[in-house]
Amino acid sequence: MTNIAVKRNSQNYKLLLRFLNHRLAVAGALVLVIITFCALFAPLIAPQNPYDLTAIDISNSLIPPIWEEGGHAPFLLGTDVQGRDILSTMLYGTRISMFVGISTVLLSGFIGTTIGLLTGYLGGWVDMVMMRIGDSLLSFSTTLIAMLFLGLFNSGNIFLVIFAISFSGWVQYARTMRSSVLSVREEDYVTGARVIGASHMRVAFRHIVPNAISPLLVIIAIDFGVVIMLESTLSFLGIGVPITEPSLGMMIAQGKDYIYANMWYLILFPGAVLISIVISLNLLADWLRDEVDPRAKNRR
Amino acid sequence: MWKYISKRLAQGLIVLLIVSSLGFIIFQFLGDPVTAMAGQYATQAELAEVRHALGLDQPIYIQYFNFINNAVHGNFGMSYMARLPAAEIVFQRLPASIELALAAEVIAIFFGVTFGVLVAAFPRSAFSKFIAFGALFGVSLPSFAVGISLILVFAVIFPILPPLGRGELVELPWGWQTGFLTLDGLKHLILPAFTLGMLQLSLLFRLTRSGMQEALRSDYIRTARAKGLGHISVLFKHALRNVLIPVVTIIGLQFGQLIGFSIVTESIFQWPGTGNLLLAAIFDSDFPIIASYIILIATLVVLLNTIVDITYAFLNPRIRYD
Repeated sequence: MTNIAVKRNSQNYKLLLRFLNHRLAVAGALVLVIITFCALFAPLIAPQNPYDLTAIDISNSLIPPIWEEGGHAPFLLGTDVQGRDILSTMLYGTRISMFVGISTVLLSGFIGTTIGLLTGYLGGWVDMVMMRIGDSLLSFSTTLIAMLFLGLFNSGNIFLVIFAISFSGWVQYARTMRSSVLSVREEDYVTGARVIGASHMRVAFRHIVPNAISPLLVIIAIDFGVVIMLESTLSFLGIGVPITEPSLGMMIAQGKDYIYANMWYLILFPGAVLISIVISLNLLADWLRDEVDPRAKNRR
Repeated sequence: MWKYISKRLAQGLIVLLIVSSLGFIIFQFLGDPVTAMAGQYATQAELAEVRHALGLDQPIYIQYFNFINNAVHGNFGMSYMARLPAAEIVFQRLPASIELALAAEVIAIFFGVTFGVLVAAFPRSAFSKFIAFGALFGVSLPSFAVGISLILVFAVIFPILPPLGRGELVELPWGWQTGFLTLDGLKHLILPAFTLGMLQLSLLFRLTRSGMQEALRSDYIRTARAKGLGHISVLFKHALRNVLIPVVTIIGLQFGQLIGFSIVTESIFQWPGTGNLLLAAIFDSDFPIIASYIILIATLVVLLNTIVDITYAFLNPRIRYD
């Protein structure tokens, strides 16, 4: 018993060492932790509550950052058109972007893995129909479907955004899960479990799912970044989050009209946060992919 | 083979039928075109008159039949706002979108494939490291951020390229207005085309690089080198040729994504194409335009995917259903 525990510990220790040796992955993780922390504790960190209309004064609009001429306290990074403190709006906006990202990954991941598990395990016409539906959805691309979907309802509801992205976002989870199931299903230990008399549910969740998890982790890391980009794009177009609670993408959209007046600070700061999140996730995903499938390292 | 092709065509038709039914549902249940057209303060009699003019007072199955019948004849009703046939408005905007997509695709293929080959051939050079780093940004930057940054740098800080519109156009005999033939039109094309092409450029670069890396390790390349063929000839004639099949497939499959991002690009650069039209229609709740756009795009996507799949089946006889 202790031997196994020691062995497992040393394996985790090796994994940790490999992770720490991968400088880019560590940098990505660090940036993500900092941004998540700021987003979680936004109400405690932010100097102003950007959703509180009484705290905003329109006469404070378009103040440049504090180190530029005309900038002044307490507006560290300046203010936007409506007089909202940019730093505070960014902190709250990151929160919304992260919330949409996490919820969408959870929702489409849940739907996708369930469908993938079912279709891979059952096969037959269920499999064929679901995969054809998936193919068709993918050929239209998640981006286009989410845009058309939200365009039709144009209501600025955050849960509608999550639903719109998940509408076709589940497909890649389903495909990954399905192919894992297909390869694991024929393994001896699965047949063995069936022979002993384990139920379908037990085989699926005790034997198949744990072996299919690691490729899913890579998909999650990549998809999280993609969803955050997509949410910001939708909000940029004005069909995403409500205008009173701007996410990072909507902040950039509102600043867009002022770039000809060279008010770069309206878009640079939210843009930088957005890009940092996505790049960090991609770095983590690259590392994860190498961990899960060492052969991929040579392929890239 | 023919069985595969007919199956593939049937599948495409089913998708189109589903999409057109969705188009009908949009007409039927979303928005209220009657108030939109007659105005908020119209009397009951005026409302009834508009409803009758639009054919909205007939039973649903007749409306559905009319819709499908009209759709087959390329008629998707009148735009609520412009009071012109919706399909006509969408088709008018199509050349602008096609030219933008074409330019973006050319940029993505040219730079993506060239960079991919060069980086695979010279992996240790500073150029390769720079490009690989750039590709990370290419997949991590939302395309609206690329567009705005390009405007900020090339139109505001260094005003050398025009940021908005299509510039000077030339009308071709069959009514197609092109920006390809004037210097001003081409200048207007550069920023939006790069914006739209950036994501695909990065994807094609990564795909070509990994394919080339694998190809360059293979035996037939060693044989070609041993025969004494030149470096360039080996790279482009022997290795690249085998990498191009997946590249072509990806280009076809990414078409839907390209359309999606063309909506964003057209909105940033005020490009007078279908994407911009769609956004305006969304904010005006102009459902005939939205439905025409969706059905047009769906037809294009299904057509292109079917062609790619069938071509692929011809190229690689092992690919089949089941």
